[in-house]
Amino acid sequence: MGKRYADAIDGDGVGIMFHEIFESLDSFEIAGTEFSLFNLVIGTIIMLAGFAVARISKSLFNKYYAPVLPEHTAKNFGKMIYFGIIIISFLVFTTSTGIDFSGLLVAGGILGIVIGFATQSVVSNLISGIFLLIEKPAKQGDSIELPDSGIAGSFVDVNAFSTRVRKFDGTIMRIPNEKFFTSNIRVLSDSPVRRHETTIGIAYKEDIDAAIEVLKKTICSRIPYVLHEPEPSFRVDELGDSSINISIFVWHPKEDWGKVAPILLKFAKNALDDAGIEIPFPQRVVWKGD
Amino acid sequence: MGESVKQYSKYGSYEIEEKLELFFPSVDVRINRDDEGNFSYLRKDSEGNIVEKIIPSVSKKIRIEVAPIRPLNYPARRTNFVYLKFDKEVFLSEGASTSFLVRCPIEIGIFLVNEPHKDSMDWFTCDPSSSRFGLYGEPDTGKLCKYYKVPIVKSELDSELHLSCVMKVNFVNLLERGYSITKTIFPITDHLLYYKGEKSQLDSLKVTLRKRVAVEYVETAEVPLTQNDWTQSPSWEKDTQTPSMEMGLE
Repeated sequence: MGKRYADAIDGDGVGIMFHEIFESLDSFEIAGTEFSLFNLVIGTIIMLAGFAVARISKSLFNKYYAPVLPEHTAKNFGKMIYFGIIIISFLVFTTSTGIDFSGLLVAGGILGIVIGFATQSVVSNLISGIFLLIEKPAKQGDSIELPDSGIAGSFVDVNAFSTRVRKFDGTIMRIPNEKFFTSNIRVLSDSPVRRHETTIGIAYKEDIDAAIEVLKKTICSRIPYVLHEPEPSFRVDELGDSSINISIFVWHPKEDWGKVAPILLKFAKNALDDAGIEIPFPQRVVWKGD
Repeated sequence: MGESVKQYSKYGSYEIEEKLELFFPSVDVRINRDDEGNFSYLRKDSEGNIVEKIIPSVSKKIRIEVAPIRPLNYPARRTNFVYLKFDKEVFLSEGASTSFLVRCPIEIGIFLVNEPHKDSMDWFTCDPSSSRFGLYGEPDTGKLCKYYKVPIVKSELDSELHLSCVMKVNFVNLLERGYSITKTIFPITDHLLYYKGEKSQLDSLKVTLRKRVAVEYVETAEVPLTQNDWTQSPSWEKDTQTPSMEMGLE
Protein backbone atom coordinates (compact mmCIF):
# COMPACT_ATOMS: atom_id res chain seq x y z
CA MET A 1 0.00 0.00 0.00
CA GLY A 2 2.74 2.48 1.06
CA LYS A 3 4.69 1.65 -2.08
CA ARG A 4 1.69 2.42 -4.30
CA TYR A 5 1.32 5.91 -2.75
CA ALA A 6 5.00 6.53 -3.16
CA ASP A 7 4.78 5.50 -6.83
CA ALA A 8 1.85 7.81 -7.37
CA ILE A 9 3.71 10.77 -5.82
CA ASP A 10 6.84 9.90 -7.70
CA GLY A 11 4.81 10.04 -10.89
CA ASP A 12 3.71 13.61 -10.10
CA GLY A 13 0.16 12.39 -10.03
CA VAL A 14 -1.42 13.97 -7.00
CA GLY A 15 -4.83 13.51 -8.60
CA ILE A 16 -4.08 9.87 -9.24
CA MET A 17 -3.07 9.51 -5.62
CA PHE A 18 -6.36 10.93 -4.33
CA HIS A 19 -8.29 8.83 -6.81
CA GLU A 20 -6.62 5.71 -5.55
CA ILE A 21 -7.13 6.70 -1.90
CA PHE A 22 -10.86 7.09 -2.39
CA GLU A 23 -11.16 4.02 -4.59
CA SER A 24 -9.40 1.99 -2.01
CA LEU A 25 -11.96 2.92 0.64
CA ASP A 26 -14.83 0.56 0.99
CA SER A 27 -18.18 1.46 -0.38
CA PHE A 28 -21.12 1.53 2.02
CA GLU A 29 -24.81 0.88 1.72
CA ILE A 30 -27.84 3.01 2.69
CA ALA A 31 -31.39 1.70 2.22
CA GLY A 32 -30.19 -0.97 -0.19
CA THR A 33 -28.28 1.49 -2.38
CA GLU A 34 -24.53 1.17 -2.57
CA PHE A 35 -22.49 4.40 -2.36
CA SER A 36 -18.79 4.93 -2.72
CA LEU A 37 -17.04 7.76 -0.96
CA PHE A 38 -15.39 8.74 -4.25
CA ASN A 39 -18.74 9.18 -5.98
CA LEU A 40 -20.12 11.17 -3.04
CA VAL A 41 -17.13 13.53 -3.13
CA ILE A 42 -17.54 13.99 -6.90
CA GLY A 43 -21.26 14.56 -6.42
CA THR A 44 -20.61 17.14 -3.69
CA ILE A 45 -18.13 18.93 -5.93
CA ILE A 46 -20.77 18.96 -8.71
CA MET A 47 -23.37 20.42 -6.35
CA LEU A 48 -20.95 23.08 -5.06
CA ALA A 49 -19.95 23.92 -8.62
CA GLY A 50 -23.66 24.09 -9.49
CA PHE A 51 -24.30 26.60 -6.69
CA ALA A 52 -21.31 28.67 -7.80
CA VAL A 53 -22.35 28.63 -11.48
CA ALA A 54 -25.95 29.49 -10.52
CA ARG A 55 -24.81 32.42 -8.41
CA ILE A 56 -22.38 33.70 -11.07
CA SER A 57 -24.98 33.30 -13.85
CA LYS A 58 -27.55 35.20 -11.82
CA SER A 59 -25.05 37.96 -11.08
CA LEU A 60 -24.10 38.26 -14.76
CA PHE A 61 -27.75 38.31 -15.74
CA ASN A 62 -28.51 41.00 -13.16
CA LYS A 63 -25.57 43.07 -14.31
CA TYR A 64 -25.93 42.89 -18.09
CA TYR A 65 -29.50 41.93 -19.01
CA ALA A 66 -31.77 42.78 -16.08
CA PRO A 67 -31.38 46.57 -16.47
CA VAL A 68 -32.98 46.47 -19.94
CA LEU A 69 -35.90 44.28 -18.81
CA PRO A 70 -38.93 45.32 -16.77
CA GLU A 71 -38.04 44.95 -13.08
CA HIS A 72 -40.62 42.28 -12.45
CA THR A 73 -39.60 40.17 -15.46
CA ALA A 74 -35.92 40.54 -14.61
CA LYS A 75 -36.51 39.32 -11.06
CA ASN A 76 -38.42 36.24 -12.24
CA PHE A 77 -35.84 35.44 -14.91
CA GLY A 78 -33.10 35.74 -12.30
CA LYS A 79 -34.88 33.24 -10.06
CA MET A 80 -35.48 30.86 -12.98
CA ILE A 81 -31.81 30.91 -13.96
CA TYR A 82 -30.64 30.35 -10.38
CA PHE A 83 -32.98 27.53 -9.48
CA GLY A 84 -32.79 25.98 -12.98
CA ILE A 85 -29.02 25.53 -12.68
CA ILE A 86 -29.35 24.15 -9.15
CA ILE A 87 -31.97 21.62 -10.26
CA ILE A 88 -29.75 20.51 -13.18
CA SER A 89 -26.81 20.19 -10.76
CA PHE A 90 -28.92 18.07 -8.43
CA LEU A 91 -29.91 15.74 -11.28
CA VAL A 92 -26.26 15.36 -12.26
CA PHE A 93 -25.42 14.74 -8.59
CA THR A 94 -27.99 11.96 -8.27
CA THR A 95 -26.80 10.36 -11.51
CA SER A 96 -23.13 10.47 -10.53
CA THR A 97 -23.73 9.08 -7.05
CA GLY A 98 -26.04 6.38 -8.34
CA ILE A 99 -28.96 7.38 -6.13
CA ASP A 100 -32.07 5.63 -7.41
CA PHE A 101 -35.33 7.35 -6.53
CA SER A 102 -37.54 4.63 -7.98
CA GLY A 103 -37.77 2.98 -4.59
CA LEU A 104 -39.11 6.17 -3.12
CA LEU A 105 -41.88 6.46 -5.69
CA VAL A 106 -44.27 3.99 -4.01
CA ALA A 107 -43.67 5.40 -0.57
CA GLY A 108 -43.67 8.89 -2.08
CA GLY A 109 -47.09 8.31 -3.63
CA ILE A 110 -48.70 7.59 -0.29
CA LEU A 111 -46.68 10.26 1.42
CA GLY A 112 -47.65 12.67 -1.35
CA ILE A 113 -51.34 12.24 -0.62
CA VAL A 114 -50.76 12.86 3.07
CA ILE A 115 -48.56 15.86 2.38
CA GLY A 116 -50.99 17.06 -0.27
CA PHE A 117 -53.82 17.28 2.24
CA ALA A 118 -51.56 18.84 4.83
CA THR A 119 -50.11 21.43 2.48
CA GLN A 120 -53.19 22.20 0.45
CA SER A 121 -52.96 25.95 1.04
CA VAL A 122 -49.23 25.94 0.34
CA VAL A 123 -49.75 24.26 -3.04
CA SER A 124 -52.70 26.50 -3.75
CA ASN A 125 -50.57 29.56 -3.09
CA LEU A 126 -47.80 28.16 -5.28
CA ILE A 127 -50.16 27.48 -8.19
CA SER A 128 -51.85 30.88 -7.74
CA GLY A 129 -48.39 32.47 -7.83
CA ILE A 130 -47.68 30.81 -11.17
CA PHE A 131 -50.98 32.05 -12.58
CA LEU A 132 -50.29 35.54 -11.24
CA LEU A 133 -46.94 35.51 -13.04
CA ILE A 134 -48.71 34.49 -16.24
CA GLU A 135 -51.64 36.89 -15.91
CA LYS A 136 -49.66 39.87 -14.55
CA PRO A 137 -52.60 41.81 -13.07
CA ALA A 138 -50.24 44.68 -12.24
CA LYS A 139 -46.70 45.76 -12.96
CA GLN A 140 -44.09 46.35 -10.30
CA GLY A 141 -44.58 49.84 -8.89
CA ASP A 142 -48.23 50.11 -9.96
CA SER A 143 -50.59 51.61 -7.42
CA ILE A 144 -53.25 49.02 -6.64
CA GLU A 145 -56.17 48.61 -4.32
CA LEU A 146 -57.89 45.47 -3.07
CA PRO A 147 -61.34 46.85 -2.28
CA ASP A 148 -62.47 43.69 -0.47
CA SER A 149 -59.52 43.74 1.92
CA GLY A 150 -59.19 47.50 2.18
CA ILE A 151 -55.54 47.27 1.14
CA ALA A 152 -54.08 49.98 -1.08
CA GLY A 153 -50.47 50.54 -2.02
CA SER A 154 -47.72 49.95 -4.50
CA PHE A 155 -47.35 46.49 -6.02
CA VAL A 156 -43.93 45.09 -5.07
CA ASP A 157 -43.62 41.52 -6.38
CA VAL A 158 -45.03 38.00 -6.58
CA ASN A 159 -43.04 35.36 -4.70
CA ALA A 160 -43.52 31.59 -4.48
CA PHE A 161 -46.26 31.74 -1.85
CA SER A 162 -47.16 35.38 -1.35
CA THR A 163 -47.51 38.74 -3.02
CA ARG A 164 -46.12 41.86 -1.45
CA VAL A 165 -47.74 45.27 -1.51
CA ARG A 166 -46.10 48.38 -0.11
CA LYS A 167 -48.88 50.33 1.56
CA PHE A 168 -48.94 54.09 1.18
CA ASP A 169 -47.81 54.41 4.81
CA GLY A 170 -44.55 52.68 3.81
CA THR A 171 -45.21 49.30 5.44
CA ILE A 172 -45.12 46.06 3.46
CA MET A 173 -48.24 43.90 3.38
CA ARG A 174 -47.73 40.21 2.59
CA ILE A 175 -50.79 38.70 0.95
CA PRO A 176 -51.06 34.94 0.25
CA ASN A 177 -51.05 34.38 -3.51
CA GLU A 178 -54.36 32.53 -3.45
CA LYS A 179 -56.10 35.43 -1.71
CA PHE A 180 -54.52 37.96 -4.04
CA PHE A 181 -55.40 35.90 -7.11
CA THR A 182 -59.06 35.57 -6.14
CA SER A 183 -59.42 39.20 -5.00
CA ASN A 184 -60.84 42.09 -6.97
CA ILE A 185 -57.79 44.13 -7.91
CA ARG A 186 -58.18 47.80 -8.79
CA VAL A 187 -55.13 49.08 -10.66
CA LEU A 188 -54.91 52.80 -10.02
CA SER A 189 -52.01 53.64 -12.30
CA ASP A 190 -52.72 51.74 -15.50
CA SER A 191 -54.46 54.60 -17.29
CA PRO A 192 -52.59 57.81 -18.08
CA VAL A 193 -55.11 59.87 -16.10
CA ARG A 194 -57.38 59.47 -13.07
CA ARG A 195 -60.47 61.27 -11.93
CA HIS A 196 -61.00 62.66 -8.47
CA GLU A 197 -64.30 63.85 -7.12
CA THR A 198 -65.43 65.79 -4.10
CA THR A 199 -68.63 67.47 -2.95
CA ILE A 200 -69.24 70.94 -1.59
CA GLY A 201 -72.51 72.52 -0.43
CA ILE A 202 -73.83 76.05 -1.05
CA ALA A 203 -76.77 77.82 0.59
CA TYR A 204 -80.20 77.61 -1.02
CA LYS A 205 -80.25 81.35 -1.62
CA GLU A 206 -77.10 81.25 -3.79
CA ASP A 207 -76.93 81.18 -7.59
CA ILE A 208 -75.82 77.68 -8.61
CA ASP A 209 -74.37 78.72 -12.00
CA ALA A 210 -72.38 81.53 -10.42
CA ALA A 211 -70.98 79.14 -7.80
CA ILE A 212 -69.98 76.61 -10.47
CA GLU A 213 -68.31 79.35 -12.52
CA VAL A 214 -66.30 80.50 -9.49
CA LEU A 215 -65.27 76.93 -8.66
CA LYS A 216 -64.24 76.16 -12.25
CA LYS A 217 -62.21 79.33 -12.63
CA THR A 218 -60.34 78.78 -9.37
CA ILE A 219 -59.65 75.09 -9.92
CA CYS A 220 -58.35 75.68 -13.45
CA SER A 221 -56.15 78.60 -12.49
CA ARG A 222 -54.84 77.47 -9.10
CA ILE A 223 -54.24 73.72 -9.47
CA PRO A 224 -51.82 73.18 -12.37
CA TYR A 225 -52.20 69.40 -12.31
CA VAL A 226 -55.91 69.49 -13.13
CA LEU A 227 -56.50 68.61 -16.78
CA HIS A 228 -58.07 71.24 -19.02
CA GLU A 229 -59.14 68.60 -21.51
CA PRO A 230 -61.42 67.05 -20.33
CA GLU A 231 -62.11 70.10 -18.21
CA PRO A 232 -63.48 69.95 -14.66
CA SER A 233 -67.16 69.07 -14.57
CA PHE A 234 -69.83 69.82 -11.99
CA ARG A 235 -73.11 68.23 -11.08
CA VAL A 236 -75.81 69.34 -8.68
CA ASP A 237 -75.87 66.16 -6.71
CA GLU A 238 -78.48 66.67 -4.06
CA LEU A 239 -80.87 69.18 -2.55
CA GLY A 240 -79.69 68.38 0.95
CA ASP A 241 -81.12 69.21 4.36
CA SER A 242 -79.02 72.32 4.72
CA SER A 243 -77.35 72.92 1.36
CA ILE A 244 -77.36 72.35 -2.36
CA ASN A 245 -74.58 69.81 -2.82
CA ILE A 246 -72.40 70.21 -5.90
CA SER A 247 -70.12 67.37 -6.97
CA ILE A 248 -66.81 68.39 -8.54
CA PHE A 249 -65.06 66.02 -10.96
CA VAL A 250 -61.48 66.73 -12.02
CA TRP A 251 -59.01 64.67 -14.03
CA HIS A 252 -55.30 64.62 -13.29
CA PRO A 253 -52.19 62.68 -14.43
CA LYS A 254 -52.10 59.29 -12.72
CA GLU A 255 -48.98 60.18 -10.72
CA ASP A 256 -50.41 63.35 -9.28
CA TRP A 257 -53.30 62.27 -7.06
CA GLY A 258 -51.40 63.67 -4.09
CA LYS A 259 -51.10 67.09 -5.73
CA VAL A 260 -54.82 67.39 -6.48
CA ALA A 261 -57.01 65.40 -4.10
CA PRO A 262 -55.77 66.80 -0.76
CA ILE A 263 -56.11 70.44 -1.87
CA LEU A 264 -59.17 70.39 -4.12
CA LEU A 265 -61.71 70.93 -1.37
CA LYS A 266 -59.55 73.63 0.24
CA PHE A 267 -59.38 75.63 -3.01
CA ALA A 268 -63.11 75.12 -3.61
CA LYS A 269 -63.97 76.39 -0.13
CA ASN A 270 -61.64 79.39 -0.44
CA ALA A 271 -63.06 80.24 -3.86
CA LEU A 272 -66.63 80.30 -2.54
CA ASP A 273 -65.55 82.33 0.51
CA ASP A 274 -63.78 84.89 -1.70
CA ALA A 275 -66.85 85.18 -3.92
CA GLY A 276 -69.10 85.66 -0.89
CA ILE A 277 -71.03 82.47 -1.59
CA GLU A 278 -72.28 80.94 1.64
CA ILE A 279 -71.39 77.40 2.65
CA PRO A 280 -74.13 76.75 5.23
CA PHE A 281 -73.77 74.91 8.51
CA PRO A 282 -76.19 72.06 9.07
CA GLN A 283 -79.36 73.73 10.30
CA ARG A 284 -82.86 72.82 11.30
CA VAL A 285 -85.90 75.12 11.17
CA VAL A 286 -88.26 74.60 14.12
CA TRP A 287 -91.78 75.95 13.79
CA LYS A 288 -93.55 76.71 17.04
CA GLY A 289 -97.30 76.15 16.84
CA ASP A 290 -99.53 78.93 18.25
CA MET B 1 -43.40 111.05 -15.93
CA GLY B 2 -44.14 107.79 -17.66
CA GLU B 3 -43.74 104.40 -16.04
CA SER B 4 -40.45 102.74 -17.04
CA VAL B 5 -40.84 99.60 -19.09
CA LYS B 6 -38.67 96.69 -18.00
CA GLN B 7 -36.43 95.50 -20.80
CA TYR B 8 -36.36 91.72 -20.96
CA SER B 9 -33.10 89.93 -21.66
CA LYS B 10 -32.70 88.41 -25.09
CA TYR B 11 -31.88 84.84 -26.01
CA GLY B 12 -28.21 84.07 -26.55
CA SER B 13 -24.86 83.67 -24.82
CA TYR B 14 -23.68 85.76 -21.91
CA GLU B 15 -20.15 85.85 -20.52
CA ILE B 16 -19.94 86.54 -16.80
CA GLU B 17 -16.87 87.81 -15.00
CA GLU B 18 -18.38 89.48 -11.95
CA LYS B 19 -22.17 89.61 -12.17
CA LEU B 20 -25.09 89.37 -14.53
CA GLU B 21 -28.74 90.22 -14.15
CA LEU B 22 -31.32 88.77 -16.50
CA PHE B 23 -34.94 89.85 -16.62
CA PHE B 24 -37.81 87.74 -17.90
CA PRO B 25 -41.57 88.15 -17.63
CA SER B 26 -42.25 87.45 -13.91
CA VAL B 27 -38.79 85.95 -13.36
CA ASP B 28 -35.44 87.55 -12.49
CA VAL B 29 -32.09 85.78 -12.57
CA ARG B 30 -28.91 86.98 -10.89
CA ILE B 31 -25.46 85.44 -11.21
CA ASN B 32 -22.64 86.79 -9.03
CA ARG B 33 -19.07 85.85 -8.44
CA ASP B 34 -18.33 85.29 -4.74
CA ASP B 35 -15.12 85.84 -2.75
CA GLU B 36 -13.99 82.25 -3.19
CA GLY B 37 -14.14 82.46 -6.98
CA ASN B 38 -17.32 80.43 -7.36
CA PHE B 39 -20.43 81.82 -8.98
CA SER B 40 -23.81 81.92 -7.29
CA TYR B 41 -27.03 81.62 -9.27
CA LEU B 42 -30.31 82.98 -7.95
CA ARG B 43 -33.71 82.84 -9.65
CA LYS B 44 -36.73 84.55 -8.19
CA ASP B 45 -40.24 84.54 -9.61
CA SER B 46 -43.16 86.85 -9.00
CA GLU B 47 -44.67 84.48 -6.41
CA GLY B 48 -41.53 84.70 -4.30
CA ASN B 49 -40.19 81.25 -5.17
CA ILE B 50 -36.40 81.24 -5.04
CA VAL B 51 -33.93 78.82 -6.59
CA GLU B 52 -30.29 79.12 -5.58
CA LYS B 53 -27.32 77.25 -7.00
CA ILE B 54 -23.56 77.40 -6.63
CA ILE B 55 -21.49 77.06 -9.79
CA PRO B 56 -17.93 76.04 -8.89
CA SER B 57 -15.51 77.46 -11.42
CA VAL B 58 -11.77 77.22 -11.90
CA SER B 59 -11.68 79.97 -14.49
CA LYS B 60 -12.33 83.66 -13.88
CA LYS B 61 -15.38 83.77 -16.09
CA ILE B 62 -18.20 81.51 -17.12
CA ARG B 63 -20.49 81.53 -20.12
CA ILE B 64 -24.18 80.78 -20.07
CA GLU B 65 -26.73 80.49 -22.83
CA VAL B 66 -30.35 81.56 -22.47
CA ALA B 67 -32.50 79.69 -24.94
CA PRO B 68 -36.10 78.67 -25.52
CA ILE B 69 -36.83 75.03 -24.68
CA ARG B 70 -39.81 72.73 -25.22
CA PRO B 71 -42.75 73.43 -22.90
CA LEU B 72 -42.76 70.09 -21.13
CA ASN B 73 -41.41 70.69 -17.64
CA TYR B 74 -43.96 72.80 -15.73
CA PRO B 75 -45.65 71.82 -13.45
CA ALA B 76 -43.92 68.41 -13.82
CA ARG B 77 -42.46 66.35 -16.62
CA ARG B 78 -45.12 63.77 -17.46
CA THR B 79 -45.22 63.47 -21.24
CA ASN B 80 -43.46 64.16 -24.53
CA PHE B 81 -46.68 65.18 -26.26
CA VAL B 82 -48.21 68.57 -26.85
CA TYR B 83 -51.89 69.25 -27.52
CA LEU B 84 -52.41 72.54 -29.35
CA LYS B 85 -56.03 73.73 -29.44
CA PHE B 86 -56.41 76.39 -32.15
CA ASP B 87 -58.35 79.54 -31.42
CA LYS B 88 -60.06 79.25 -34.82
CA GLU B 89 -61.39 76.22 -36.63
CA VAL B 90 -59.80 75.42 -40.00
CA PHE B 91 -62.00 73.63 -42.51
CA LEU B 92 -60.13 71.47 -44.99
CA SER B 93 -62.16 70.18 -47.92
CA GLU B 94 -61.71 66.76 -49.51
CA GLY B 95 -58.22 66.31 -50.98
CA ALA B 96 -57.12 69.82 -49.96
CA SER B 97 -53.96 70.89 -48.19
CA THR B 98 -53.04 74.04 -46.34
CA SER B 99 -50.38 75.41 -44.07
CA PHE B 100 -50.57 78.02 -41.36
CA LEU B 101 -48.55 79.33 -38.46
CA VAL B 102 -49.41 78.91 -34.82
CA ARG B 103 -47.89 80.24 -31.65
CA CYS B 104 -46.53 77.43 -29.50
CA PRO B 105 -45.61 78.10 -25.85
CA ILE B 106 -42.02 77.65 -24.70
CA GLU B 107 -40.08 77.46 -21.48
CA ILE B 108 -36.70 79.04 -20.86
CA GLY B 109 -33.55 77.00 -20.37
CA ILE B 110 -30.33 78.28 -18.81
CA PHE B 111 -27.31 76.31 -20.05
CA LEU B 112 -23.78 76.44 -18.73
CA VAL B 113 -21.49 76.49 -21.75
CA ASN B 114 -18.37 74.34 -21.53
CA GLU B 115 -17.50 74.06 -25.19
CA PRO B 116 -18.35 71.82 -26.89
CA HIS B 117 -20.90 70.89 -24.17
CA LYS B 118 -23.88 72.90 -23.05
CA ASP B 119 -25.05 71.60 -19.69
CA SER B 120 -28.66 72.09 -18.62
CA MET B 121 -28.45 74.21 -15.47
CA ASP B 122 -31.95 75.55 -14.87
CA TRP B 123 -35.33 75.97 -16.50
CA PHE B 124 -38.46 77.93 -15.79
CA THR B 125 -41.65 79.11 -17.39
CA CYS B 126 -42.59 82.74 -17.67
CA ASP B 127 -46.29 81.94 -18.00
CA PRO B 128 -47.17 79.20 -15.49
CA SER B 129 -50.90 79.94 -15.66
CA SER B 130 -51.20 78.70 -19.25
CA SER B 131 -49.16 75.53 -18.79
CA ARG B 132 -51.66 72.74 -18.23
CA PHE B 133 -52.30 69.09 -19.05
CA GLY B 134 -54.86 67.63 -21.43
CA LEU B 135 -55.90 64.19 -22.59
CA TYR B 136 -56.31 63.12 -26.19
CA GLY B 137 -58.52 60.06 -26.45
CA GLU B 138 -60.19 57.93 -23.82
CA PRO B 139 -59.02 57.87 -20.19
CA ASP B 140 -57.81 54.25 -20.42
CA THR B 141 -56.08 54.38 -23.81
CA GLY B 142 -55.57 58.09 -24.46
CA LYS B 143 -52.42 60.15 -24.54
CA LEU B 144 -51.56 62.58 -21.79
CA CYS B 145 -50.31 65.84 -23.31
CA LYS B 146 -49.29 69.33 -22.34
CA TYR B 147 -52.33 71.38 -23.30
CA TYR B 148 -52.25 74.88 -24.73
CA LYS B 149 -54.81 77.09 -26.41
CA VAL B 150 -52.89 78.79 -29.22
CA PRO B 151 -53.66 81.50 -31.75
CA ILE B 152 -53.10 81.21 -35.48
CA VAL B 153 -50.64 83.95 -36.48
CA LYS B 154 -49.59 85.53 -39.75
CA SER B 155 -45.81 85.76 -39.62
CA GLU B 156 -42.90 83.60 -38.55
CA LEU B 157 -41.79 86.58 -36.47
CA ASP B 158 -44.97 86.66 -34.38
CA SER B 159 -43.42 84.83 -31.45
CA GLU B 160 -43.44 86.49 -28.01
CA LEU B 161 -40.12 86.86 -26.24
CA HIS B 162 -39.74 84.18 -23.51
CA LEU B 163 -43.37 83.10 -23.89
CA SER B 164 -43.92 81.49 -27.27
CA CYS B 165 -42.38 80.45 -30.56
CA VAL B 166 -43.96 80.07 -33.98
CA MET B 167 -44.53 76.73 -35.65
CA LYS B 168 -45.65 76.05 -39.21
CA VAL B 169 -48.29 73.33 -39.53
CA ASN B 170 -48.96 71.69 -42.89
CA PHE B 171 -52.29 69.91 -43.13
CA VAL B 172 -53.11 67.45 -45.91
CA ASN B 173 -56.57 65.92 -46.12
CA LEU B 174 -56.56 62.61 -48.00
CA LEU B 175 -60.02 61.66 -46.71
CA GLU B 176 -63.04 61.50 -48.98
CA ARG B 177 -64.79 64.26 -47.05
CA GLY B 178 -64.08 67.68 -45.66
CA TYR B 179 -62.78 67.95 -42.13
CA SER B 180 -62.75 70.67 -39.47
CA ILE B 181 -59.43 70.99 -37.73
CA THR B 182 -59.45 72.38 -34.24
CA LYS B 183 -56.33 70.87 -32.69
CA THR B 184 -53.13 68.97 -33.26
CA ILE B 185 -51.30 66.50 -31.05
CA PHE B 186 -47.68 65.58 -31.65
CA PRO B 187 -44.51 64.44 -29.82
CA ILE B 188 -42.67 67.73 -29.41
CA THR B 189 -39.45 65.99 -28.40
CA ASP B 190 -38.97 65.31 -32.12
CA HIS B 191 -38.87 69.04 -32.78
CA LEU B 192 -35.94 71.40 -32.39
CA LEU B 193 -36.22 75.03 -31.36
CA TYR B 194 -34.33 77.90 -32.97
CA TYR B 195 -33.88 81.50 -31.90
CA LYS B 196 -32.63 84.76 -33.32
CA GLY B 197 -32.56 87.82 -31.09
CA GLU B 198 -36.01 88.01 -29.53
CA LYS B 199 -37.69 85.57 -31.90
CA SER B 200 -37.98 81.80 -31.80
CA GLN B 201 -39.28 79.07 -34.08
CA LEU B 202 -40.02 75.36 -33.82
CA ASP B 203 -39.51 72.73 -36.50
CA SER B 204 -42.57 72.43 -38.74
CA LEU B 205 -45.23 69.78 -38.40
CA LYS B 206 -46.86 67.87 -41.21
CA VAL B 207 -50.28 66.43 -40.41
CA THR B 208 -51.93 64.06 -42.87
CA LEU B 209 -55.49 62.85 -42.51
CA ARG B 210 -55.66 59.38 -44.05
CA LYS B 211 -57.95 56.42 -44.35
CA ARG B 212 -56.84 52.79 -44.17
CA VAL B 213 -59.61 50.36 -45.10
CA ALA B 214 -62.44 51.77 -42.95
CA VAL B 215 -60.33 53.48 -40.31
CA GLU B 216 -59.62 57.19 -40.50
CA TYR B 217 -56.47 58.29 -38.74
CA VAL B 218 -53.99 61.15 -38.40
CA GLU B 219 -50.33 60.84 -39.27
CA THR B 220 -47.97 63.47 -37.90
CA ALA B 221 -44.35 63.98 -38.86
CA GLU B 222 -41.72 66.56 -38.00
CA VAL B 223 -40.27 68.68 -40.85
CA PRO B 224 -36.92 70.32 -39.98
CA LEU B 225 -36.46 74.04 -40.52
CA THR B 226 -33.92 75.02 -43.12
CA GLN B 227 -33.05 78.63 -42.22
CA ASN B 228 -29.36 78.77 -41.49
CA ASP B 229 -29.21 82.14 -39.74
CA TRP B 230 -31.21 80.97 -36.70
CA THR B 231 -29.38 79.46 -33.73
CA GLN B 232 -30.49 76.02 -32.63
CA SER B 233 -31.44 75.84 -28.95
CA PRO B 234 -29.63 73.24 -26.87
CA SER B 235 -31.91 70.36 -25.88
CA TRP B 236 -32.99 70.39 -22.27
CA GLU B 237 -34.14 66.82 -22.21
CA LYS B 238 -32.99 63.71 -24.06
CA ASP B 239 -34.25 63.71 -27.63
CA THR B 240 -36.41 60.93 -28.88
CA GLN B 241 -36.91 60.50 -32.57
CA THR B 242 -40.22 59.29 -33.96
CA PRO B 243 -40.12 59.71 -37.75
CA SER B 244 -43.90 59.70 -37.93
CA MET B 245 -46.78 58.83 -35.64
CA GLU B 246 -50.31 57.62 -36.18
CA MET B 247 -53.25 58.43 -33.92
CA GLY B 248 -56.96 57.82 -34.05
CA LEU B 249 -59.08 60.63 -35.45
CA GLU B 250 -61.44 62.32 -33.00
